[in-house]
Amino acid sequence: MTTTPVDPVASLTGALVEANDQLLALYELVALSTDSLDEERAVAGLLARAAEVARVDGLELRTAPSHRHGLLDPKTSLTTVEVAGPNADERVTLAASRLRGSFGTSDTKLLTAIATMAVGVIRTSRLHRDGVAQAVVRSEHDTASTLAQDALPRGELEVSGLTVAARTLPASSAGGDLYTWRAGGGVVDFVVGDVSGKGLPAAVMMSNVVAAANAAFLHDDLQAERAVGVLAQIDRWLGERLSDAARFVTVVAVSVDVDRSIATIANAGHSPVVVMRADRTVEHVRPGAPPVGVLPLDELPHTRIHLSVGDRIVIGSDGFTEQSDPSGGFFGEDRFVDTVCTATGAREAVDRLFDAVDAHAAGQTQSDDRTIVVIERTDGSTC
Amino acid sequence: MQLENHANNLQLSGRFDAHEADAFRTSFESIVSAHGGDVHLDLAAVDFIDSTALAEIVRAMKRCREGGHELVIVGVSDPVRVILELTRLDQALTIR
Repeated sequence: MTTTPVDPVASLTGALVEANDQLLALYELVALSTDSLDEERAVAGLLARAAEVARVDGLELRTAPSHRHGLLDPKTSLTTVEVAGPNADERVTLAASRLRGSFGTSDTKLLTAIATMAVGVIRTSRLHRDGVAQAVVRSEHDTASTLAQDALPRGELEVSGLTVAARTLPASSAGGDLYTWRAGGGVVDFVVGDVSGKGLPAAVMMSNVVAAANAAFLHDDLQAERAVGVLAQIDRWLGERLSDAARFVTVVAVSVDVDRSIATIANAGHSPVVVMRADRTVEHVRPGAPPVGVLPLDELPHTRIHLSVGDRIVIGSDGFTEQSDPSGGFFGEDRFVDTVCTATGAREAVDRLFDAVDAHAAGQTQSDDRTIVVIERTDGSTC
Repeated sequence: MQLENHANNLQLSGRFDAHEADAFRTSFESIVSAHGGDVHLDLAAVDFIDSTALAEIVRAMKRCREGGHELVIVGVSDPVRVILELTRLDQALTIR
């Protein structure tokens, strides 16, 4: 047996050339980019171009015609590498044969680099896909929130003899607080409410309550006391549905007979209605029944009051009184009453209340929806 | 909110609000499926309750009544009592 002496210089030169080829291949590999965010196309595109880079280096990557993650045909290959991502199904196995020469550790490095890039492409594609899916859900959520909030009246109510100011501010993009009104035939009907819960589910039910209230305003068969009739209709139409959904809605219905200066108030589970007289004395109309959706409302007590010029009816939600400051202290009922009653008019009462609660919160997250409707009897010269 | 359940008794303490509603429902349902019968709910140590939590209690009341049983509120703190009275839910719930 004869042996051929190894030329150390030739061997070293070959190794250097091979290392340099591998380096260039890696440079080219890094420069590759994918032009698709579709997982299948992106991986297939990357591997096809990586195969070109590898071929220059003497490696043959044979891609299967319908591989999923760049799996080549290991039966006819001489070496394989496998790279796994964080998730079990993010795994790429590459196989290759050598067109010339013998395999070296640098081949494994190149194959590993290609497989790692393929795993990265898979992850990027999936993150993009998930991001798109989340964006679609977010967009639909925003649209639904906007539609739900659109159930509330737009603009101001202008009625001779009354000044009405109202504002609602959901804690998130939509909420369960509501108000609506209708003027006609010398009577103005109001409904203010708060659906239990928060966010879009409460907002969807809120829009149903507004629709029911608007329909109730037009009902032919209202009782003599319209506020009671409106509340009874809402209970009849929505009570069971709310109950089935494990929700309830606190409702205040107010009917103002402007010509006779009479207001009727029916309160089902809502925060006390504040009646401020022109001389600044304050009365409260507390709930006479539980919220709608708890039990069928058999009895609906109501309060009838005479409204003189300067008298003010304030219907607020608990999102004001239960707002916490940084030390956990609530805004509270007393401050609520004081703020709305010391303002010089309905609109100022609304502005001052929102400002005062914001100041109290001092940057704390809004804990609940805030809604207020202020109705003030005027002499008819202002609307 | 702290939540403890022993047999048919569910005892809450701290804040009971929208963030705690799921935990309450899970505990309540486990009691109903494990024991049946009336469920006793102790709110004596609850210092704040919001409308979402009230809705959960009402739901629990109805769930019990569907099975011919009762949700009995056996302890009520002052803040909770004020809310129950203010909303007239004291008329609908069984409170001892």
